[in-house]
Amino acid sequence: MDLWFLGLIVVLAVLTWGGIVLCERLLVRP
Amino acid sequence: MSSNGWLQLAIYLLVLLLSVKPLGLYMAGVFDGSGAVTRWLRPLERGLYKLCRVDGDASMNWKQYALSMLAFNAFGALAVYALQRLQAYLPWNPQQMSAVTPDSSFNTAVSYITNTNWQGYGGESSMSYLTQMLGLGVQNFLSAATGIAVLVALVRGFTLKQAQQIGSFWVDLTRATLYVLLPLSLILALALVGQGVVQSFSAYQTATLVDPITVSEPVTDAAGNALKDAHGNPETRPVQVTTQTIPLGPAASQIAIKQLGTNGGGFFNVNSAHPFENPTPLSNLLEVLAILLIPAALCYSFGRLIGDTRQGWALLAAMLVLWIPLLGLTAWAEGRSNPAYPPALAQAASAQQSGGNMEGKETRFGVADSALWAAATTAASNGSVNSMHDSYTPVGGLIPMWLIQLGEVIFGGVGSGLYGMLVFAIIAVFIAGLMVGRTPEYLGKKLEAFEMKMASLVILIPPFFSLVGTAIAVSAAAGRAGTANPGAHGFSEILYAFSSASNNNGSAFAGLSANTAFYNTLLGIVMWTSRYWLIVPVLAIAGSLAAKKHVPAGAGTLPTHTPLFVVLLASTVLVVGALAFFPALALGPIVEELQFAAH
Repeated sequence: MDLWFLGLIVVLAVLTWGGIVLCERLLVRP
Repeated sequence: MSSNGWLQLAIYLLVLLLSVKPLGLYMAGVFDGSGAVTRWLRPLERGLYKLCRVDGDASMNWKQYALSMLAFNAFGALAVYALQRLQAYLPWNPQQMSAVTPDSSFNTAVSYITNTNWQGYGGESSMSYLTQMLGLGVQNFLSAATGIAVLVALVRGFTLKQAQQIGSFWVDLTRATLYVLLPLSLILALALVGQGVVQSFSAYQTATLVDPITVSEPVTDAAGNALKDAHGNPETRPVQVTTQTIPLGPAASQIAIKQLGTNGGGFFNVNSAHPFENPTPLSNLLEVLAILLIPAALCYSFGRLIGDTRQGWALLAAMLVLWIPLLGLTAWAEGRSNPAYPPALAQAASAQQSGGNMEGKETRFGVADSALWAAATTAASNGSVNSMHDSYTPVGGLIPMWLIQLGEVIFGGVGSGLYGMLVFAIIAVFIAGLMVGRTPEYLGKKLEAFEMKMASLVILIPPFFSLVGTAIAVSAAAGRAGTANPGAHGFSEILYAFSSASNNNGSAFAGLSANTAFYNTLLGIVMWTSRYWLIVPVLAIAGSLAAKKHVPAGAGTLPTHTPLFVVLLASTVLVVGALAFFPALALGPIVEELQFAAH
């Protein structure tokens, strides 16, 4: 169970990092 | 409610407003580096940077700022998780608490790093002193400091011109902790100890009752779920109690920051209704004042930092325009007699009680101080309680729930409330631009498609997770099993829980048994997404605005320091909150109020 919840924290962090990358791409103006 | 009760609310407001300018001025000095205390303690600050190998003079772009914030908070979550799981092998555990379960550890870790402080656990029955201090207490400081840091970064977005950098996350985090949160917490903790709040490393004490009492105990199954009778009401059995365990611990130091940092997680299970957390009328006043102190003062700091204090006063005015009527409505609703009670039960004010709906309230505090706390803690994303919101009348319970659902921008969390309100200001300026053809610009920065996309994310993510989470919980047997009441009230308990988690408030309708794998996991995910998936677009807005040039105010610029803008801003907050949540509220507290009226 520990690995499951520790993995969940990592997954949430990675998804948030993906959000940062996505926002950065949106910010780049043509 | 009595005139004495209304007078107490008025005095509270007066003291709060008098503290806004001095504290706001001090905090502005901290973040622009001009304050005297900041200059005196600069060597200490420099020493901390050296110790942590941080370049105190370096600045970051918004992406670096966001990644630093994310890495720091993710590490915090792992550390708090590990502390709970390993507490049985670690020191400062006089009650020999065993390891917290994995799902509860996950929920609590996410809850504290996100400044939510939702508590599925009871502090005195599950956490060692080390976990309370090093895990929960430390995160009380750091999560609040994270909120302030993000706000300061957004303010720089308005003040900087054609810049790529928005400051250093590490510097902002350190300054918020060192110069704002630590000194205020130290002062408040000492004041609370003076009032009798416990601060001890002793083991719990056991006392024999002079008069044994009989209490009703909920009947549970093997899995710990409450059993219900054929009518859906909880089953209970009588139990005679002859001894009392008196919990102790280093409480005062943690209570000070949980109030000041809008954290709210109680050292003891019943939070600030516990006599060791909140023993006197003065401790109650200090603690409830501490809830709104920093969020209110940050409005003035904001005005100072952007060079126009009128802008800060306008934001504070919008918060007060929304909050004061809702506070009054809660106090009025709870001051009413409860028609569901037997007629023989005295509910009028007397020398023995304050009158009104006293179920779930401390007789020490009465209706006025309970309603004030409920309205302050839910407006401010604090989440601590001195009464049980589950026992409020339907309208009395609806208002705290709606204050949460309005996005925690009416004061809101430390830092997070004001950056949320600034996002609403951006939306309000944009709407005004659409309506009357004004140029959409705010504080000298032109608002374009990117800012509107990010602002839309900020206002839509919390309602989305709140409503979807509630829908999943009421659809699943594991979700419905946690409710203590059938029907509309049970729905309100679930809706409140997800509203609280998705707006990082942390308070609960006390009737929901949420320390289950289902709720711990789902609420943990909701707390994370609703914190960091908002911070990222806020920092992106900061980066975008900082890169823009300053546009001087012209004939087409909407003034944002006027009463007209205050009304526009307050209306925007109200409309978004009403549109998002009215259907759900109609299924819970509104239908309950109609049933209430039928008595």
